[in-house]
Amino acid sequence: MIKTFTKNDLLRYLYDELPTLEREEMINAQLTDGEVEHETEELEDVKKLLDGFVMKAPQEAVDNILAYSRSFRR
Amino acid sequence: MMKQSNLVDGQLLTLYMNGNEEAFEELVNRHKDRVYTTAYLIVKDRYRAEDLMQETFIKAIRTIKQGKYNEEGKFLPWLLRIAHNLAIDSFRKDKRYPTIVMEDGGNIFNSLAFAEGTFEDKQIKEDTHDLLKRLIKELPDSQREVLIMRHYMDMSFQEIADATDVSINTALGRMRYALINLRKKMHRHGRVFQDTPRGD
Repeated sequence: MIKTFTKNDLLRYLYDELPTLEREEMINAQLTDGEVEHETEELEDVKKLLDGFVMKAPQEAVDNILAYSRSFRR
Repeated sequence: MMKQSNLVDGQLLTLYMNGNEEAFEELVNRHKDRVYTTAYLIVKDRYRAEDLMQETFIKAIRTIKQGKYNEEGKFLPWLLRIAHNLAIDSFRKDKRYPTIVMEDGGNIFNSLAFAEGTFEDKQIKEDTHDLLKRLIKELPDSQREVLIMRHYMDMSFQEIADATDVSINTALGRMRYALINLRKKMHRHGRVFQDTPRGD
């Protein structure tokens, strides 16, 4: 029987939160269903961008933190 | 002796509890950008985010040095919870006493972390990250909150649902709409995702 996946299942697959068996079924669904594959790719593109997005903390603030730690008496 | 960069957080914490400041420096350098990004995406102002990052680490220093730290092996989630709570408090205060916050200005490209690459690669990535940063700020609060918790605080969707008092399907739905909204907005700004090739 072919399992039907919801949009939320797809999201759980992308974020690696599907149980192993369902994950395998999802991979198969993508191979046979162009629509599922397309939506997965679209969401995955944005997820990848977010995965790589991080802002660099200002060094001055880091220096302040380290100075505070050194001066803090237990 | 083992290099500190090879030690896991729990080992560094033990060294720090025993007075090793270099171990703490390693922990700060390891996690500062995540803490700063989390705070920034909540308060949407880099100066406030900088203050919040300092407050977060100061709270952590006090807790650890006073012997009150008891989250063995879970340093980063604990740190991010502190940052999140402080940022939410700060955000709420702002809403009670609204002030006009100038758009960040300056050369924000300098404040973004990038991988090595050609000048052109870097420029594309910088432009994309600049745009992404703006678009995340435009998301509805509920969607931005789930995005921050999932991407920067490494919380599962069930943990997010519990923390925000909604069903897991609602949390998943919010994340999905956040991704869809970001993608639509990126397209509207002419981004075609050429910098995220398949199969990598």
